[in-house]
Amino acid sequence: MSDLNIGVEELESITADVWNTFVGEDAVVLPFPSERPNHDADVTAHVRIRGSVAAAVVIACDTASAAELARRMFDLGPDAEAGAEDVADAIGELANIVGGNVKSLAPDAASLTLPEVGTGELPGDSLGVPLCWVDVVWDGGQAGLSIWTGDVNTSSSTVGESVIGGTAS
Amino acid sequence: MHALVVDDSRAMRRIVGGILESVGFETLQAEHGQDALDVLAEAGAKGITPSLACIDWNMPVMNGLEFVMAVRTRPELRTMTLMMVTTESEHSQIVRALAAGAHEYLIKPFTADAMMDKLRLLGLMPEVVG
Repeated sequence: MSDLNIGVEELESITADVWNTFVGEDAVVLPFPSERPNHDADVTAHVRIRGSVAAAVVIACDTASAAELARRMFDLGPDAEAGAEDVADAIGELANIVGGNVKSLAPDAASLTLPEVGTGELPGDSLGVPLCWVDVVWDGGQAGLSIWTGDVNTSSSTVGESVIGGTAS
Repeated sequence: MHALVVDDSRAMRRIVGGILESVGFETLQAEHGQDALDVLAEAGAKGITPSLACIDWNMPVMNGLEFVMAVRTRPELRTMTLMMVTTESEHSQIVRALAAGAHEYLIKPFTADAMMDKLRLLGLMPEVVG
């Protein structure tokens, strides 16, 4: 098992690219880290990376932010409300895209699981330890993205990316 | 001209489909490879073969690579251009997809301009082919 050669700078870059492309050009990755990755938000999505590395990519945000992500990705009107399936689809796909870009930095062959979307606190014990994290904000929402490595279980799920920036010491 | 968008994310199907429709394609959609084969069979019964398929890689039931390989076994679909639209960005994965029969590769995240550049490269911009 190899180390995942990625830090907060790479996560910031990937997050900015994905959010600016699919959420909006007003999205900004905050230039300062929170103390801990936020993984007890209302809505979470994660994907796992298997193979040469064991890692997970997590997105976490509150309900209103998740709805705004879906509203933008589905190009819903300003007065339209996103349904639960739209929210799960949108945040899951964002996790998939960020996870795929993180996976591309793995030193050897690795695979990506399908996204898993949930509510409430993530199963932190199965995610290993946080490697780095960022926060991203946009008009109408914010989210936290984090990368976890190490003691990852064999669940087939994959979800999310996060919003606040930091690196585990 | 028809295009088939194969992605398990409805949001991504909307985004890709929207770009293609903005340049004149009529789009068909499928949520995984097997669904795409079913959609193609149904369209074929009506005399429609899409000129282009935009294919995600990581999908349940039948993934994008398996779909490409399945399409390549069907002579009636030989005119359909296959473009992977995926987060699988490692060189080895791109080589696998091209070796299996994909014609082009677009990595997520992508802009509408990037997709249109690929369409021009493939000679599939509707104004180019008339």
